[in-house]
Amino acid sequence: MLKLIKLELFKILTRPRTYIGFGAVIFIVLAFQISLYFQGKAVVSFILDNLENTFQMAGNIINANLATYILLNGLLIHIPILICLVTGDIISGEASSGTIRIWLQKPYSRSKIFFAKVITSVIYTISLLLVLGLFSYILGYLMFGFGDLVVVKQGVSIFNQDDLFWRFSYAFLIGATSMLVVTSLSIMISSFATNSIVPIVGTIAIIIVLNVLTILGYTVFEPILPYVFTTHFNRWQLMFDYDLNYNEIAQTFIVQSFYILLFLAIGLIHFKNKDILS
Amino acid sequence: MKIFINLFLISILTIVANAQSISKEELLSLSIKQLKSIPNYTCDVELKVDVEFIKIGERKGKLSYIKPDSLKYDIEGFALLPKEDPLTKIKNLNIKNYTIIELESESISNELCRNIKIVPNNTDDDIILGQVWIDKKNNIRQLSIFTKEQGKFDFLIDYMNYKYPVPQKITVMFDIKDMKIPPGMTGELNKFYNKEKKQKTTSGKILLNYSNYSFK
Repeated sequence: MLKLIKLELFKILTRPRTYIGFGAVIFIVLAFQISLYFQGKAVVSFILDNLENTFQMAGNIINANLATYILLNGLLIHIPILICLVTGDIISGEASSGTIRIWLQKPYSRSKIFFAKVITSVIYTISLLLVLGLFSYILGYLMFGFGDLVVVKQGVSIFNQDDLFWRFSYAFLIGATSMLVVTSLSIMISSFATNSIVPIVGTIAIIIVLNVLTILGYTVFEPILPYVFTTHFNRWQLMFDYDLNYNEIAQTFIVQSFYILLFLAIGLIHFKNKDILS
Repeated sequence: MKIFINLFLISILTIVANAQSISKEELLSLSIKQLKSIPNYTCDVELKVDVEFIKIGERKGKLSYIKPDSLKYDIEGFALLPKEDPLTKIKNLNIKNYTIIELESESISNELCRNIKIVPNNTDDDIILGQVWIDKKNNIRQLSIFTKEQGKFDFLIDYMNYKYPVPQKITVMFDIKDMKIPPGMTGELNKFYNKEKKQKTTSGKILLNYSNYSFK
């Protein structure tokens, strides 16, 4: 199994498209933090205008924590596109080039090959998120230093610097679970497809459609939205509620895990019965 | 028995008459003079913000006062501090620019205080109306200010038992509009259909506790 994973990793590392995601993440983080450096005070002042009328604010409000929080907020909507570029191609790419036939003739079970591809995709997804989180945090620290985090949602929550590591860690875990749903969805579509375009575009299309329905059709679809996986894409923010809502956090994990298992199960069943002769 | 009651009433009236013996203008001037006598100092400060929609833990730090008006907070982390310092505000009052009216005395924190209203003579003044409650030691125990810029603030002040009238505790009370951030900015896209659109005004408090004064 380890050998299979190593081979899969070698394959994705030799493909240029693997680095598009990392490059895009690094570029966005750099561009965002530079703009935060020059325009940050004006943006914060706009958001906290109401408080500035009543309070005198003391302390470093623009810091590594705020930069990472805003970046996670913005990027978790777009990261799925970068994930699909690699994971959507992982089976269909080989079907399209014909190498899948060689693979499936090797003395490994189809399940092992499938799971090697799944694990490799998971490693890629987590690496992409780690690069986003760590690069944003380290660059934020170098540019702005540390400080307390001010989160504005329905109200204002201010978290101490020493209260943030575990919140960011769990937020990262919830965010990673959401992205693994995308990974498993694209692998499932990839197991059906014979070219790379279908799983990449198909996964992105499904996410866009569900996101649009979530916003525009909120009043109509409200009862089913808690069970739609895209609804949970921004649920990592639950970790930045002052009083944690454990029920909602658990629900998010359950819904996301269900979809991961469902998509992988469908993908595996299809992959095991995939006709490679035609 | 009647003699005792009469004596008691006479002594009470004498105390009240003595307390009222100085004019309202003099009383306010005395309070201001007392505040101006405070030398430079540093002290520890604890700060608690009590506003419905703001979640923030207690903050601790140091406060340095340098005559005449400089108050410098050195707080650990991010803090929301009161925009106005009540004692500085009063200290800078030029009472000649205000009409001073005395109302009936009131009890503030179990202390009978003289109740003085200040009305600016000039309509350009930032203060629209002010009211101070001054105790027997000429300390300002409560202050209400209506300003053009920042609305209404109420301050309740408890003093340390020091030579100088330095606060032990200040409670700042104010009205504040709650936050309405567009859902697109917070990522809570499903809140687009939130029916609550009007900004609600709620009352808030900042509690400041001072300790370990060191005068220079």
